[in-house]
Amino acid sequence: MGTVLKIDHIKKYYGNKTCLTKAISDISFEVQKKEFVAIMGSSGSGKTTLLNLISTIDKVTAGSIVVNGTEITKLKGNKLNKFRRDELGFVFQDFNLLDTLTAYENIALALSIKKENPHLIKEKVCEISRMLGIENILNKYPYQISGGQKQRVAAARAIINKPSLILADEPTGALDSKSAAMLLSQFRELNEKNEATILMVTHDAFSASYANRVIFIKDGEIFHELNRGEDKRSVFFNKIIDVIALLGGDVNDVI
Amino acid sequence: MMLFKLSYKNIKAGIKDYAVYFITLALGVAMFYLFNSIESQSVIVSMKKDQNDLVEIAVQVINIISYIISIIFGCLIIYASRFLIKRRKNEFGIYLTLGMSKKQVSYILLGENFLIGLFSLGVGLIIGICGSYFVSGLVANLFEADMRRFYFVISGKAIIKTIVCFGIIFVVDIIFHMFQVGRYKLIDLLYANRKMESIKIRRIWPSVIVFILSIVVLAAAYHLALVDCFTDSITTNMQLKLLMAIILGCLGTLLFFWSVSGFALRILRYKSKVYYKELNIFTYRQLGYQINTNVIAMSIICILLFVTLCICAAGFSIKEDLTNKTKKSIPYDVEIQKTVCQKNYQVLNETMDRALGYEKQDKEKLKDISLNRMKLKKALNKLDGTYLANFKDYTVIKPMIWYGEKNPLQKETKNISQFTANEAGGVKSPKYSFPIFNRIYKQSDFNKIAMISKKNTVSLKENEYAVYYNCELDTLQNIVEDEIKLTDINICGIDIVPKYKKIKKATLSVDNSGMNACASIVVTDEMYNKMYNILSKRYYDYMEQSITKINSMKTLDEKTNYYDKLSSSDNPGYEVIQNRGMANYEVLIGNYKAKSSNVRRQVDKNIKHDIVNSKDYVGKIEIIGSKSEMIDASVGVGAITVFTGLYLGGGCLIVCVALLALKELTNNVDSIEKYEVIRKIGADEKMINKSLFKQGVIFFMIPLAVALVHCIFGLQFTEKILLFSDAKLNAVTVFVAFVCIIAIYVAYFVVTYLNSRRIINRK
Repeated sequence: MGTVLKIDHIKKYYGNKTCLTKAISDISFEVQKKEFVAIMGSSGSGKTTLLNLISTIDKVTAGSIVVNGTEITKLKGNKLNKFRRDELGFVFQDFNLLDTLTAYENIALALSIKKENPHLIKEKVCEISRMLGIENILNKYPYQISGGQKQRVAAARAIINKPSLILADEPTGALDSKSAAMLLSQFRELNEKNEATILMVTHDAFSASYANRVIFIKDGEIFHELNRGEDKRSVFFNKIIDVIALLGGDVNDVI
Repeated sequence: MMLFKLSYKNIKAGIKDYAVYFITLALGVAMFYLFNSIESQSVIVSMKKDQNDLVEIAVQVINIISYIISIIFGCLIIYASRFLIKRRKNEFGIYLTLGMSKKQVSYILLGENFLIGLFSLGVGLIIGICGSYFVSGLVANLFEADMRRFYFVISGKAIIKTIVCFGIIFVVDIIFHMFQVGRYKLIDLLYANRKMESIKIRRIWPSVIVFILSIVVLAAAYHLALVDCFTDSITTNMQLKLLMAIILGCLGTLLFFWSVSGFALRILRYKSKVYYKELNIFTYRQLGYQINTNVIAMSIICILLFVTLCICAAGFSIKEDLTNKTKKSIPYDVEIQKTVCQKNYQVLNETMDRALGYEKQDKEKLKDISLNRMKLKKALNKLDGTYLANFKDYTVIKPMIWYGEKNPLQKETKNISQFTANEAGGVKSPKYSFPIFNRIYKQSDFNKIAMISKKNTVSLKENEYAVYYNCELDTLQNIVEDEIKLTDINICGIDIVPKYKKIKKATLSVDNSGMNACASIVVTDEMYNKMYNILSKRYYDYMEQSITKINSMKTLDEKTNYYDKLSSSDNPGYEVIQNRGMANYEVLIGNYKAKSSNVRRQVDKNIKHDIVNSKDYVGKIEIIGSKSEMIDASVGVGAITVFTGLYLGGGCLIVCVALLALKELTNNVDSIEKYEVIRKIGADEKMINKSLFKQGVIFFMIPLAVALVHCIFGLQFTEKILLFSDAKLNAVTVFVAFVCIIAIYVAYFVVTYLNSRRIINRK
């Protein structure tokens, strides 16, 4: 088991000297291969900033991020694009499917951007969609399918390149509870059977309970960490709820 | 003041967003000024004084087109600023939530519009003024004016006109937007960016079927325009067919744009190597969507482009051709004609008058008779004693008009009296019906003309004749050649044989319109005299008989009735009456001494003035044609065609490309998030730019390509139509017109592409 993601004392500050916002003051953690990690925190805690930094959309102020042995904070230009293309897969809260493309084409686009051999595309798309149970909607346009299906298409698009790390930003945010549960169990399955490494940002305890490990962030720092171990999901869920209760601030904060 | 500051800052921040809007506006203003200032250019002003009314007409044509152009531009500007507002709905929403009233928001808009309008008006006027410096050179060239008289003028009138016209457009634009802002709902404004667009994605198979249908419809339209229009012989039918072709063409274009993206996607999907390469799926889908949502706009743009291409190409060609043809086709400076009657014709007339019971000739009538009998030279001298002194060389000839009902030269017997001027001169069908010849010249007269116009003379044997085609129209000559048989013929009972096996070309009169656009016969002087005498005698005898008959009648009614019948075409003696050899005319042709075109023009003007002003001579002396006048006329017509072509064509073109650019930009603004997604999936900037470029090129190219295909057929049609007036499309000018159009096109494309890149790569 290797380390896929290693975050080492990263800092991210916005603004200037007179008005400094510390979005991330100091965070370090590691994600191992085949892990399913959830990052939780209330809004403003810095979890989206963290995701942006990992996905190279934003730059760190200090510290280092290593993905699969590559120091990504120093990447520039085309190398950055190549890194994003080869190592990362994205799943967004509002699906972000391209509405002019069919589901099939949305998935295939990820492959063709990677300059995959056109003849292999069909085979790969079919395989992945079978796994996610979306074979029968492949020729439909995003506006013709449900939210859950959309998110599964988005997931298919994210994992089809077999990235070292899948970044999911509130993937269940726009789904009803049933579709959310279905998607998350598919994430689990991907994680277990396909050995996909998933880093999911969420503020929903239910979603987080599907993960192996949950990292809690508060005010730009790691507040707590929970390992599921051999627990049942319901047990793990309760543990998470307990931490969340603390996360909002403890009794000492109340004057 | 605060609001105005806000407007100013908004513009400063968004100056690049306004680029296309601004460029279009400035170009529109520049073009408007350019064409309206032509009137005041020194060249034109001086030409107005000494040239013809055509300059005046050109100015009026420009005025009319100006109105059309300003209306079109008005619509475009409203559309363009709608695009700008659309981008900023969110911003307006924020203003409203901050507590601004809708009125204040409209004031901000007003301020912005005012600033942009003022700025583009200023820049446009500067471009226009600089441009007019070059254009007035072109104008002088078009009107073939003396370039020494040329100096540069800034036209205050044109500036004021431009400001007023565009001022009105701005006011309308502003009112429109005030109205729109008033109707906005806060929720729509704030959530404008998030609103899901309803997308129209067409099914593939209907597209394929419609695409095939559109090709069939277009083919039918082309066939109608190029083949069917020219096979039938009735003119009205042709117009109907042309109308059908236009309707089918428009319909076909519409269907084409409706279906082309679906069809192309279907084809592309089979080519997985292309379709699944880099961002191609996205590029093509995005394009398909763009075309599908803009079917009507694309069709209109395509048709406008087609019209522009045709107008520009044809305008220039006609001008070139017309001027060249005119110069070539008039071999001498002036042709003047006067009816000159023989004495016995007068006597006959008087006898007839008495028979009809008219009293003694009054003074006016006597004067008229003496004028009728006066020879052309004497009459001219009387009119203006110095006129003939202007000539380097001149000659007076006496051709005889032939009104033969049955034309001896014609292959099939046709009744000449059936022809109307319209049919003979106008467009009918490739199978024309013509009066084959209608003038008889004597050899010596012919040779006199040949000397004056420096052409070959002819010498005929006693019973020989030659046929000369009196026109420079090559195409008509072919048709005449088809109809004429050069064999032994009989005129007035005299047998004559052809000297040449072919019809020769010679300009014997510059009056080559209508009935005169046909062949003339040349015979020896003796033969001519013989014919002249026979025709005169025949007429004399016939009239004598008629007079006797009239005298034998009792009532006046009976007499006048009989007399009236004589000149009707169903009278058996009609041909005899028409061919009254004794009442013919004299023609003076000659070249002026003066070399300067201005002096020649002045000489022509003076004599024309004399003829018009002397009441006695009205109708007696007639200027058939003067070289300077005809060249002026053709240059004028040519210049008007070019102006119209350039102005209307240029205007349409700018509107078209501006529309395309705006559509493309709007679409890109709406797709910012899509590019964001693609970037996250891993596409690099290079790929995205490539995709943007491809989309731009194809989106701009499709209407142009379709318009060019239309043009291939359209220009063929134009050429066929022009054949009737014998103008030809000039390959070079067509090429130049195309290059100009494509240059403007490319310029707009580049601006759009750079702007799209900026929009997409903003983050």
